[in-house]
Amino acid sequence: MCYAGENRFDFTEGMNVIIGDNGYGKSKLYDAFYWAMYDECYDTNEKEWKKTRLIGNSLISDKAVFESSDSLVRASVKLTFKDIAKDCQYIVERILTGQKKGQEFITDTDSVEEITYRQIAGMTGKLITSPDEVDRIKKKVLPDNIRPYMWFQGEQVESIIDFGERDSLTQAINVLSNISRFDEISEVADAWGESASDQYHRKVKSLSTDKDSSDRLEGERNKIVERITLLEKDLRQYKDNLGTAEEETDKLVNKQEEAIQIRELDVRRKGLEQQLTQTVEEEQFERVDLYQKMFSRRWVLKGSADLVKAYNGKFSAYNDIKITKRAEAKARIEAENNIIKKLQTRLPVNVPEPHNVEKMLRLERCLVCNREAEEGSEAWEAIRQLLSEPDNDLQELEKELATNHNFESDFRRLSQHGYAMEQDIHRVDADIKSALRRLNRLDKRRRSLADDVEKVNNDYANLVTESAIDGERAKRLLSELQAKNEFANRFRANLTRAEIELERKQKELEEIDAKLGDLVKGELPAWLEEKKKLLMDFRDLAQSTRERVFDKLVKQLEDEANKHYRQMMQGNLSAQGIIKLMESSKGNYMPRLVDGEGNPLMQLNTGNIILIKLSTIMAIISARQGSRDTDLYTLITDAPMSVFGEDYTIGFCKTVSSVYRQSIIMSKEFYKNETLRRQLLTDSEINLGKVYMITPSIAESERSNRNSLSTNIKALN
Amino acid sequence: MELIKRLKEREPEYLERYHEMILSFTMEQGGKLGTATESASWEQGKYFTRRYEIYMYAALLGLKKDYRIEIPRGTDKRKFIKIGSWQPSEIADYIIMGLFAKSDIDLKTLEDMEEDEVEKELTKLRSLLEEYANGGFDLIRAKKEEDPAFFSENENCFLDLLDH
Amino acid sequence: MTREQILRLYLEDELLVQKGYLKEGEGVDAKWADHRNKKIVEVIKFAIEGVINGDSQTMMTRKINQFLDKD
Repeated sequence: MCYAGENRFDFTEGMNVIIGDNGYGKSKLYDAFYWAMYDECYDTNEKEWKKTRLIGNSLISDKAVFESSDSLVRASVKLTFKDIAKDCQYIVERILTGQKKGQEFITDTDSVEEITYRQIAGMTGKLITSPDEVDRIKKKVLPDNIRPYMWFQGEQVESIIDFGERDSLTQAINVLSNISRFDEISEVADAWGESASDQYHRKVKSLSTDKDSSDRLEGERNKIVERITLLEKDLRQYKDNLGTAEEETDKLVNKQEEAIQIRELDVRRKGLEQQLTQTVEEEQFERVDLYQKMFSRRWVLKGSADLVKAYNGKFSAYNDIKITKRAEAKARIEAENNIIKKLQTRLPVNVPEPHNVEKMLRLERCLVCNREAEEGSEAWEAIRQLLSEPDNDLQELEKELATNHNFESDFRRLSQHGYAMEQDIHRVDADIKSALRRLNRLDKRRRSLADDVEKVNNDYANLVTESAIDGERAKRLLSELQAKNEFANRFRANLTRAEIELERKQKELEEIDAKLGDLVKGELPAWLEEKKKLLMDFRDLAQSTRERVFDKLVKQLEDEANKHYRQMMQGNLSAQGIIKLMESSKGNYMPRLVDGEGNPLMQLNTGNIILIKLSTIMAIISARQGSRDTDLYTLITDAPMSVFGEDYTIGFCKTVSSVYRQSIIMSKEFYKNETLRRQLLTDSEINLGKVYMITPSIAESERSNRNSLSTNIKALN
Repeated sequence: MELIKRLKEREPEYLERYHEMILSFTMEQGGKLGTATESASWEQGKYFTRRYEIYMYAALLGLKKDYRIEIPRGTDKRKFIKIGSWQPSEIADYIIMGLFAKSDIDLKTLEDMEEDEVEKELTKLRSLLEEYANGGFDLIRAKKEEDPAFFSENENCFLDLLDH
Repeated sequence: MTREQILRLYLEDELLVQKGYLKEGEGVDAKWADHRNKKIVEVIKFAIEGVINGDSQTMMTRKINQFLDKD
């Protein structure tokens, strides 16, 4: 992401939010704040802070280099702090210059810092030149001890609250109240105790009646003391190791829960994707089928029934004419034949009977008069005339009716076809409707499956990112856990053994001391006895009081953290557990979630863990009694809210905006999720400052060309 | 069946200017059926498998709406396969029925004609078919112009067009 | 924290009662000037003074020895 050109943000009181997707420049913005003040940026890959001289080149925008006409390019960040009480401003500006030399671009080794002070009313600025004064102003604007808990990046949440470093909780508690005093007093008490002990012991030695015995005992005593020192060292080591193993086991147990979730999600999404593919195939098949039905189910004939009517009208007419003509012709022929018959015969019809007439014709003889009648002769014709000849009639009829072509069968076929199709046409509407309904159902199912797949894929991706477990690690998790457990058990055994031995040795020491005491003639001076007792008791007292004070502060921190935690979890029914800072075997403190009985709640998801840690960080500052830190200093962070889920994100915003007078939060959660964004902008319980949205000037796909990249900043309110 | 058979020997033509449009809706480009799977072609917005299918569609559209456009002489045209090869043949027969219905041919008179006259009438029927198909194509073209998204966004476009 | 506040925290510790230096409740609300007769209290004060003043360990040991040694 690129901030070439001039980019400006004006923050107000309340919670200011900078919204942008991953890669749009939110981290760079955080770097800008830090760099301006402290000349360093956090390298997330190597997890360390780097000064300008180590990262110089990468601070300058490629686009600016590309576009610069003269060969100089200047990168600068200007932060303006307002002191509300005194009504004045401090402007911190850091500048890094670079120069193009041919193809190369070289930045100056160091950046330049300029601090200006000005009264707002007067608007005249005064450049601060004294390094001490510069330092004082920077500490005034953000005190060093508060800094880690006010300006931090999401990735650092773990390390800030690790309390793994022996002193880090002490450091945090110190922010609340100065407990270092009690540590110092404890150290003094230890030193006094030891010195008094030595003094006493020397006196005992000097008063010994038996130098040889006392020398011998002394020798043994030294060995024991040596052994005790070693054991104490070992003990510390074992406790450390055990503590680490326990921590890592905890982490793994939590991760295991997530690993299981990831596996489940993976299975689910594969199943859903398969269903989706199937549904898509089915849908496509139906679609193709749909168009085939256009013809196979006669849908294309829809609404054309009139054609059938029209054709059949014609066909009927044609048919009628044919019938009429036939009837007419038939009648005419019959009539003609009848007249001929009437004119030609004297006998009644069918006398003689036709079979006799046929006989006569065959014999070629009239059987009435017994005369010959040769075929073809007049007499033979006369006999033949006696037969009524329907065949003849028919032939004659056909001859009359004959046309050039006879297309009747074609026309009839078309007519019958039309009627048949008409039946089909009637059911087309219902047919189409049911096919479309089926298609609709498939479409709906496809959509809903696609949504499900997207959601599950998102959940899966988020979980994998936030838990930093991929599929492979998830499989190995179980064996890792077992190995870690074994380590822990081994250390525990070592620890117990060492403790037992230490106790034994200390007893031996006491015995030897007693023996040495027995060798003493006379009495030890009372004041020495008293001194020893006093200072040993004081040593115990100092330790006890320190613990008490420390515990009280820890409790204070816990209460405050829980206040924040509860507020952020508000409205979430599954929320349970209380934050407790628990001391581990290592002697360090970890924030944990416990139930009502004080049993640790295991298997927390990453979201929960981050919330607990954030609550604790916030508590460190807000619990400072009598302080106005949350009033005077700004929280700047890009805390990873995506692990929370939507409900918690809004809860987080409400809490932050109520605890800190001004905060600047960089977030990606509000980028894609419009509903959440709207909630942010309208929820009356969130004390909102300015909201900005940053987007790249060109699309994702073209972003390989870094020379044309720039950032758009848009205020949303 | 002689008359219908003879008519089915004819190869109707369509206007060259509709060629692109026809191809855009048809999977088969020119006799190479079976090269693309049906679902693959589907996504390209092709609704008809063969060109004669869309021709039949257009002809029926024209017939239904009684919308025919004469094809002036000399206009560029393209020919494709004879009516007899159109599938399903029932639809082809139905169209023929429709043509007879709409034409001014008198069925009885036809039978009395001489052979060459019959041929002329069959030719007239073919022209009629082309004119109605032409009308149908014009309706499709007009719809596309009026609502460009209709054919590209709507997968049921030709189905909906039946209700036109 | 003031010296008195720090002192009070030590005097409130149960251990002092257990070891017989103070009676129950005597440590509560104690003022810096109270209990001057009790050596343990003086020892505590020495420690507090020394730490707040920023004295070195050597110096503090010397001071306490001065207070408690008798020869």
